[in-house]
Amino acid sequence: MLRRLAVLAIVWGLPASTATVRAAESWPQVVTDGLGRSVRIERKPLRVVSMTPANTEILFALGAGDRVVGVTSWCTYPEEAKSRPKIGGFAATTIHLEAVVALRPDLVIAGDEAQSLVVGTLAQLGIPVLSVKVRDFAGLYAVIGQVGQLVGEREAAETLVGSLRRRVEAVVARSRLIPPEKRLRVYWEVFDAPVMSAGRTSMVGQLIELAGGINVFADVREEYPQVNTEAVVARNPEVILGADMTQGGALTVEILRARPGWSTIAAVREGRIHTLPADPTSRPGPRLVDGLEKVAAALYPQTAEGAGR
Amino acid sequence: MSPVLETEALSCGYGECPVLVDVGLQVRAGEVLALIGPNGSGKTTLLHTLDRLLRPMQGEVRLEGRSIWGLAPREVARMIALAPQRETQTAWPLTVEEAVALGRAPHRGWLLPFTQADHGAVSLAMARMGVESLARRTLSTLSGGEVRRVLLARALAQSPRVMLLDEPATYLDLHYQAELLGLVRSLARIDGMAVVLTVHDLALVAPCADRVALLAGGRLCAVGTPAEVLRAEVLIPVYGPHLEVLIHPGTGAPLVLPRPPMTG
Amino acid sequence: MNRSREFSAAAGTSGTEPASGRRLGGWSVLLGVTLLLSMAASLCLGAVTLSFEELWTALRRDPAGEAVQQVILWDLRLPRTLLAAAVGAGLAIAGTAFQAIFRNALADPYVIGASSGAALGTTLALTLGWSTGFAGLGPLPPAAFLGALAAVSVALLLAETGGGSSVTSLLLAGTALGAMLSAAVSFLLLWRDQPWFQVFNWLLGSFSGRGWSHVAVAWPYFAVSFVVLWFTARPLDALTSGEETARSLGLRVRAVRLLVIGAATLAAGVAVAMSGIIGFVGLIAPHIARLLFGAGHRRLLPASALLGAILLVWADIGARSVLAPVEVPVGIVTAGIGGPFFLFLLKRRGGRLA
Repeated sequence: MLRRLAVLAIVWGLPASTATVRAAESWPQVVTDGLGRSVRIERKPLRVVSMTPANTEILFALGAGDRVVGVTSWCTYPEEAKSRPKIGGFAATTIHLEAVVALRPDLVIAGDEAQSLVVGTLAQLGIPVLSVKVRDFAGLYAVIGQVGQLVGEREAAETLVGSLRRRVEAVVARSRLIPPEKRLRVYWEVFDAPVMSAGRTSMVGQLIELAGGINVFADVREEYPQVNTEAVVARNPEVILGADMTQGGALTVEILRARPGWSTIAAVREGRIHTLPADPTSRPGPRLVDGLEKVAAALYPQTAEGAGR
Repeated sequence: MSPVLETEALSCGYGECPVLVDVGLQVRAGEVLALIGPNGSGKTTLLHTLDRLLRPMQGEVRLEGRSIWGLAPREVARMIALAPQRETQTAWPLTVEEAVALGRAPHRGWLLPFTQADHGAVSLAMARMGVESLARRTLSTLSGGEVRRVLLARALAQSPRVMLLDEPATYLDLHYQAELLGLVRSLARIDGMAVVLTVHDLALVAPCADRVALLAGGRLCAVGTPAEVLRAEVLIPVYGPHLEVLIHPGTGAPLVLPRPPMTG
Repeated sequence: MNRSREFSAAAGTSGTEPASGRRLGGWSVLLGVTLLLSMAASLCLGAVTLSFEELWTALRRDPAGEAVQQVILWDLRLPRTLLAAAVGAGLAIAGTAFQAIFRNALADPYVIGASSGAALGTTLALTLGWSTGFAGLGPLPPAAFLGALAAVSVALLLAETGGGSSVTSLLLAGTALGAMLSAAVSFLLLWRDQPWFQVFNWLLGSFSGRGWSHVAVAWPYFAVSFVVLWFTARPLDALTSGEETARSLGLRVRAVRLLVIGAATLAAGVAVAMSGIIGFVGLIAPHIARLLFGAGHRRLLPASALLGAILLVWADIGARSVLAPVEVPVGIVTAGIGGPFFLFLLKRRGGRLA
């Protein structure tokens, strides 16, 4: 009797287990990428090349890092990524196509229209390329899902997206608690010469709004407009944020005060100037949520919980 | 009387080869010297060399006994004026008055504003050349003859001791040609200038020139009074056989005319 | 010839003073007033609009007025407007001088390499990360200025050793040099993968963020350049009549040419150092001035300077106001004026440029 049950269990269990296995790894996979192209993967890719730092971070976060065989020279996170072979820079003009092809990739994950020339050539060579375009958080979740689907890490993708979603919702919930009159006017400086800020369609602009701040240039649709310094002075931001990259001058109170007319800005008078790590606030990858949390912490330190990194 | 302007063993030209070799000329105050010769004989080159625009390859040019290359350009410009055949640039809308006023620069200098006297000299020069009614017109709107007269007026405004005129009669109507001949004579006789002019039309030589210099084959072939130089035996070796020299019935001056070859 | 005419002229009753002198007085007053009004408009318009009353209050630093308006006016707009006027005048006067030297109405202050040299200087400063500035202005202005001067000097040297001292060889040398320097700039940008917008913004010209320190540094250079060029007015008249004519009048052509190029490049170099490469002003202002006042440089130089100042002040107003709060590089606005202007010249003047 027991032996019959065991046989039945095996007989019933086997197809079920193989079915789960097949469901997790069913090839070929087809998705439509950010440039509207249809991308088809025949089998699980074992050699993946990433052409943007954000995509590298996504791949490693999904646990597919060991299959990443080529990265750009700007792919600095996580640490292991730095040691992978380099295929060039970020811009289409600095990517070495030959290096990419020499790595014999099964899948290439590329950036948006800026790299479309390279994407086109690789596709002609028969290499599957997924072009990724992230405009907002919804787009980020979708991209993580697509990448997960194509590299065969669907579950990891779902888990990752879930946790990111929860963290974002936490920040949004906290920011909803701030009464409208206490919401701070924020000026984000992308660059100092020329003076460049973030408009409402930029990722940084969205981070500010989600964190409960008021982007002083939210009325500008352009992603990174060059703005008139008079406008900054007139709009009188209460907090000034910037990335701590080597680009542009450092964002310190002394330097801002030295700029003609800036000493009257509320943020400069009160010294509410914060520099945030550059990559989490600009790369459209999983760490973007870190960036959101940091922005929220900088704006409203009293309401941010200690859980923020 | 010692010459105002003279050359000694002068060789001049552009580039490697001299256009003229071993030219010795003298011009005195109150004298008109006409330079004649076929096209390409170096008349304009000689004028430019006399005006300190072209460095002599050999020999020297002396102004009142001093070599002109030993003098400053402005000092030479105060004493020698050149009215060129044509201006290289008339597209620039300088007015006639401004163009003529440039002639005062050697005297007044390049920095200081012009004085009453300068303006007077300019007006006088324009009046003498009959262009004062064109004073406010720009050069680009003038006819060839009018531009000629403006260039002459500028040279006059320079109040020089030596006047160099490069084919001054070209483009001028007959009326103005006649006036020009009279002007040339009065410059010498009344203003006491030494005048050197290049002439293409040989008919104009006798009425105004005291002496004539014939340039041909890179040399000074003949120099002397019009009667001495404007002779068939002197001119035919240079200009060819198709000319004849007549004597003007009234003045007795030699008149050179082209003689077409015999037909039939 | 009319002897009586000679005598009356000699008596000095007519033409003792050029009739155009009277015309100059009237027009220069008109131009000066126009410049002042333009500057007032520049002080009122922008991301924040001031009425004349508010302008007057803010100018007097009246404590009753709004502090923000005073700050914007005194710290931002006033120096910016003054700088725009100075740069416009400097570019115009340099353009006038170059057009006379080259006897070419299409010459502009950058024709013998000043802009390419400045671009290379700036790009080197950016890619190599130079940090030493000058009088609190940062590393870009001195790099641009020195680059401009160096390029013009090299062009002069090339012309001397190459083809003699004619203006044609100078133009050729400047064009060749400009091409090589531009290639060097592009190479540097690609090699270092630099943020292009930084260099582009500078290449297109901008008055954004310029303050009193810029005005303080720039004005002595402009002053020297203007004074020197004013004194070359008559030599420039002679030069435009042709090099032979000028020499025949006793002008030391080579020395004057070097002096004029030096003074004009000084103005152009400072202009470029303060605000980047702004095109068309140095080309259009002399044209308009010649159309209105003729080619005599005693009138032309100051008229050109005033017109250039007016032009650039208005271009800057446009740059600040058209897409407010976004600021357009002022070089784009001047290009937008320049193109149609030349079309207009083509139609009206039948192809004649001077």
